[in-house]
Amino acid sequence: MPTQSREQVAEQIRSVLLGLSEPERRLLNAVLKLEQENLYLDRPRVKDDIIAEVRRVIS
Amino acid sequence: MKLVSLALQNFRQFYGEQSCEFATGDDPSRVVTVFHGYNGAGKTALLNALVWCLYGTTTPDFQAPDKLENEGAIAEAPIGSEITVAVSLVFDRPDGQYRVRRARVSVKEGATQIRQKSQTLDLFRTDETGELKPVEDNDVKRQKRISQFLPNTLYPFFFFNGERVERIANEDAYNSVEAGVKTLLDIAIFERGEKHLRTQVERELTAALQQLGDAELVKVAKELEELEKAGEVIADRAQLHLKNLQALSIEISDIESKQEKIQHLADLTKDRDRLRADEERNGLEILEAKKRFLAALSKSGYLAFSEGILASTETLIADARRRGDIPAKIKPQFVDDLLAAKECICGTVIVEGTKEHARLLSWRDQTGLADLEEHISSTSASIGRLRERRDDYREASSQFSKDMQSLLSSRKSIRSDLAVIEEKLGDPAHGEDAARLQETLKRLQRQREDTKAEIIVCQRDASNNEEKQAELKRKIRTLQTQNERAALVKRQLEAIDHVADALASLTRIQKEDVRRALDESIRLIWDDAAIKQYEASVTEDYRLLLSKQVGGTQVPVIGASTGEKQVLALSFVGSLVKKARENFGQSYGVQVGGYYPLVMDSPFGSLEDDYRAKVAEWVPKLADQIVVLVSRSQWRSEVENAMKGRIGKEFILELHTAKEGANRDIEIHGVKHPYVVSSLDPIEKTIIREV
Repeated sequence: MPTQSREQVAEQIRSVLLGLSEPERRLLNAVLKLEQENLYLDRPRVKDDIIAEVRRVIS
Repeated sequence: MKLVSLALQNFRQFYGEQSCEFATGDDPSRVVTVFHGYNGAGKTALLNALVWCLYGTTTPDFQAPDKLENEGAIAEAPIGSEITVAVSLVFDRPDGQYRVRRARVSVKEGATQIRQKSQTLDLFRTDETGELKPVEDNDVKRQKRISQFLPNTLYPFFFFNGERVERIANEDAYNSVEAGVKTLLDIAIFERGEKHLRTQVERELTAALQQLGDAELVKVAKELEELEKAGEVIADRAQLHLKNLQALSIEISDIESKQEKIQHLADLTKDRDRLRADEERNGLEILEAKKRFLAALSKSGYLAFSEGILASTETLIADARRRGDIPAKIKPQFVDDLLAAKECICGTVIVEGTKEHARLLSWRDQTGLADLEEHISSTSASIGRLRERRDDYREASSQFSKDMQSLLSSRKSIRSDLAVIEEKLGDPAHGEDAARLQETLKRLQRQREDTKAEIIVCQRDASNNEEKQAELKRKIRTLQTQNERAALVKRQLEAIDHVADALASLTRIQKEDVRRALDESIRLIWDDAAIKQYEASVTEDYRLLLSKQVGGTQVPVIGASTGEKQVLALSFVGSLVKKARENFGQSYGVQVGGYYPLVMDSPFGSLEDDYRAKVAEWVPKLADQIVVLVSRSQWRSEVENAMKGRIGKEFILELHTAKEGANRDIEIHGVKHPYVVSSLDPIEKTIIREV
């Protein structure tokens, strides 16, 4: 199987991110940050925090 | 996370206060810390000191986990006084150096009885200025912070007993392994993000839209909300079935192990395993045959009924030849050249209005037939080739029928043999226990099949539900609203949809990247280490798979040895750590990847010499920090030779015992050191000594 280089993976990721608008990219980063902070929990309660981010970013 | 130092106070065998520093990889070629210890000297206790310090728990196979206090410390303390057991660990992270200390205070109530009084957890961070600062203001928050550094579900990948590490390669562990890989390699944050956006957040905003929108928008939003609720019910149902399936698989595996241990069933269980392997191979061969036939069908299947059209085409061509329409007498280019030159080859001038010019125009009309001739010529050639392809397809079709007949007949025979074996396994003549086990096994297998069917139903329902949701979301996007707030919520919903789609794509990309990296790394190690012609691979859901070639087909290895599974599992954890290090950095505004230590208690325990040497050679290449806890018999020449150039720190867990004549030495790099010491002190204890 040919090895897919890190550059190819980075390019795929870049292409996905380019499909988002600037506020959407900010929202994505904020969601990931919240999820990472709560990763240790089985059932994290992040809904309210995400909604707050949505309202802050898309207003 | 890189371990810097460890200090113990009255923890199990470690009387009083003792400490050690780990090789931290300042010299990248020397990343290994070795602890040599006699049986009972405290190797497993040391591993558990790390786990307890970080999480307040111990590994599942640690004996008497409630009794952490050193027996000598208990014996010496006056009744009513306090005894403290504590572990302090210093570790490095990208944002600074952390110091964690967990301590438990107990009160002595009798000669050997103590009552636990309190437990505390302290956490400090040394920042870039070198200042030591407390982290968080209570134990719960401090524990949360430590769990954010390394979730407690992940510690079994980094702090483990090597003699039981093969559990990672077991079928029943795949759920926890998959979850672990996703968490460690940052896939879980993408998956969770998408899930939370698509369910909880979207639902809340859809509900808000119902309060604000126009009548049609409200109606669609309500329908969407209903579908989202139904989708969650389906997801919960699927999750429950998956859990049941896993539990059933474990129960089935337990019963089969019990059957294997009944001596007079041994031959039958071996036959059953063989037949199951045959059945699995047969299934793969059927899939292969179908795949081959489908390829032939999609390429040439349409030719199966083409004879009529091929024959009538031939007739048309033959008729045209007979009539003299083809071959054409004159080429169109020739006529065009004469018209352009305005002169015939005989010298006659050809200008517009002359009868020669009119004749040439008439010829050119007829030369259209020459184009036709070219097409006919290529069609004639194609008819032959199409007939050949049709014949090949018919051959493939006929071969497929024969293969399927033979494979289905084999399957029938295998299943019939399997049924006979299963009946024999349940024969009361083998005893009531054996009969009961087989009866239970049959019931569980039926339940497992039912559960699998339920899961398929859930998947179908979920897919239908998703399609309907997508349709309604499209509709919401197209519906106009006059209400400004409703328009804003619509925009927010659209943004959520886009971000959730992006998270789903990123999850796919990361998952495949991780799977491929693990697969490549494990194949490389296995190819180098294994003496059998097995192939190691990692499946889409991160299952470790050993397979072999049988009759041109790759089939799973059934009954791989414990040693083989251990090599596979060790190469897996090593590869995980390597990939986490490769990913290390800032992406999407969050820290991803990371550096992790591997702390392995008796990692070479039940491995053959060849495997020991290979594991000892490979693991330090993959991880940035290795801590190995070994007995003298496990640290044999092949391991020592493979690791000695990579050792940064080396310790002996010097066991002091009251037993006379127990003195033992251990030779390390040609120098003898006390290993077990007969002591006048009645308290048995272990002292950590650096070599």
